[in-house]
Amino acid sequence: MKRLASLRFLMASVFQRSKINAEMEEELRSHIQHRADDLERSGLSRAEAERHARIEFGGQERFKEECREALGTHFLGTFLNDVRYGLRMLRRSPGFTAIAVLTFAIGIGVNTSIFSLIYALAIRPLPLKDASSLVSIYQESRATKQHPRGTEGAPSYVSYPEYANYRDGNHAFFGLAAYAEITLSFSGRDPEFLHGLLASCNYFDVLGAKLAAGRGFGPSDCRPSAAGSVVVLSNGFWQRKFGGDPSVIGKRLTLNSQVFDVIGVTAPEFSGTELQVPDLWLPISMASQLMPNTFGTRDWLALPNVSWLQVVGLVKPGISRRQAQAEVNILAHQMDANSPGAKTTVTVNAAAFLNSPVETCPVCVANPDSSQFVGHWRPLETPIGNPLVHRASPESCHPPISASATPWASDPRDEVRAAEFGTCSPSLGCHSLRHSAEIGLFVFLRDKSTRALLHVAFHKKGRSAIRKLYIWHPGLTVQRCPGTRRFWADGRQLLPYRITEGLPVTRPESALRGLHSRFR
Amino acid sequence: MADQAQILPGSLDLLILRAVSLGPLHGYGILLRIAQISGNALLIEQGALYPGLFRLVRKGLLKASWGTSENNRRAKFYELTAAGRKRLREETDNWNRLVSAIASALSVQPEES
Repeated sequence: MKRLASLRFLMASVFQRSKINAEMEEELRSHIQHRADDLERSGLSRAEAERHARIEFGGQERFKEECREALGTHFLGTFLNDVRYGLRMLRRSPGFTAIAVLTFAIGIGVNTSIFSLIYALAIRPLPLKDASSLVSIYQESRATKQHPRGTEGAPSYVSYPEYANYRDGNHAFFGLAAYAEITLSFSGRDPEFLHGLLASCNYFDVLGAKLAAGRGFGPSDCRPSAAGSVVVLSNGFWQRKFGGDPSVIGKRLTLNSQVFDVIGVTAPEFSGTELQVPDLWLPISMASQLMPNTFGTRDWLALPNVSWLQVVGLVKPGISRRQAQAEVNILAHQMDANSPGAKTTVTVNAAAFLNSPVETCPVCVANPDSSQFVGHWRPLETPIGNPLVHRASPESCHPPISASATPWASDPRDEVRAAEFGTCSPSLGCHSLRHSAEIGLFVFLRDKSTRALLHVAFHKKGRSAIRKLYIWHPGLTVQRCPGTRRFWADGRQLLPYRITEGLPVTRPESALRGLHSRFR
Repeated sequence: MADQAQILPGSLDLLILRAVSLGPLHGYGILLRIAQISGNALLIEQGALYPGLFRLVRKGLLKASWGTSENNRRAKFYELTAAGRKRLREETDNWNRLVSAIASALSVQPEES
């Protein structure tokens, strides 16, 4: 009531300023007239009485000002005066004004663009159908001596048995899909590296993906020993590589030496869950065949404690993210019960490009059995400062490494050793090396305290790319695997090494440049 | 004039509320009423009344309306609102407590040592 009254007065004071002033004037005049009436009655002439009344009343202007103050209207006047004064001062010093305005403009602009970027990456729902019901599932697993954990991707990813447990045990989701990024070497007329996504066979259904041609994965495509596997192309890759030719369905592609039948092409608007739209999608069951050297002959889907899958789910209507998280956590705890000491915590986040929980894993313990970073390496006699690192042995058929691929190691005092990786290990032969090779390089910089492992993909046609880079801190170590020594045909020794602790770097090129400049 | 007391700060509002509580009055009428009920003991500067009135209207304790005075002149009449009536009761109680407290404090005789 009180507030309403003062609000009414304030509004009146803003919109009816002159009316209020006129009323105030009239009221004071009326007062003086009444006083004059009284004085007149006591015997004064009218003129005399009015003069006396005015003198008794005192300075009208002063009281009017006090009245305006009492109404709270003078603040507005003072404020307007301040604004006018401010504008006058700004006009007087245009240089200062320009700099101030510019500062504000840049500040606002930078803030806006940073927010837009963060919004686009981390807040905005994925550009998918039903995006508001889509969530990502991450987990935090406590690795112990009894339950070491391997990581291929990020520690917050899940293993296939964990994914299957969440997928089959829950009542909160319409479906849970799992996927992992993979780089593929594509053999053909124009070989190249492709960005692929290993996806569970419900992937397209869960994400509600539309297809431009053919079909998506069906349950039969993910049977463990499916004879001849299938691939779904992204629209962009289809246009780029096949010119949008619809007869591509049924064609065969060779990826990492495996043959795939093209069964479908996604619609242009489907861009998947990752920032970078994949070139193609492959059934998750092909992981072991496509990356035979990461875990040896072991079946990726059977590895219970390797974090390599990202999980995205479609929550049923009426179920909150918190409820869904609680349910998945119960499933995780049930699994933990089978392996004492293990502790898994699941996080369910709204699906966005960047939403994985902060990955703070100061010590990542690799599983000695899964030893995903095993590199059979052997020092090379030739330092990398030399323009060419020659073929190390008759068996290894990787092409010469040109120093231009490693411009960062031009200082001859930097010791660089090459290690053979993946596709070229003696036991597997060199079948895929017709077009490309992957080679690990151990880099020991001058101060010996920083070492790095480069996972470099070399291409026959000279296009090379640094695939992965692992940097060790002084406190982290590379361990030699005990007992397993191999010998090359010429009698030289091959020592298997396992990298137990490393810091995976997502932007290897810039990381390398930074590393190099730091130790120059 | 010499026997008229300067009013205490803050007590003007209370006097206005009290004067108006007996019936709607215009500004000059309020002054007369205060003089009358205080037995001409209180001096109020004529112009100083109006900021007080405006303040009370703004607080919603008084409401104002234009009318015609006993002298047949146009004048603005003030009367108490419900909130004003309540405030008057509270302020009167406070005032009485204060006055009796001060009076009793002043009436204490120094003890003979």
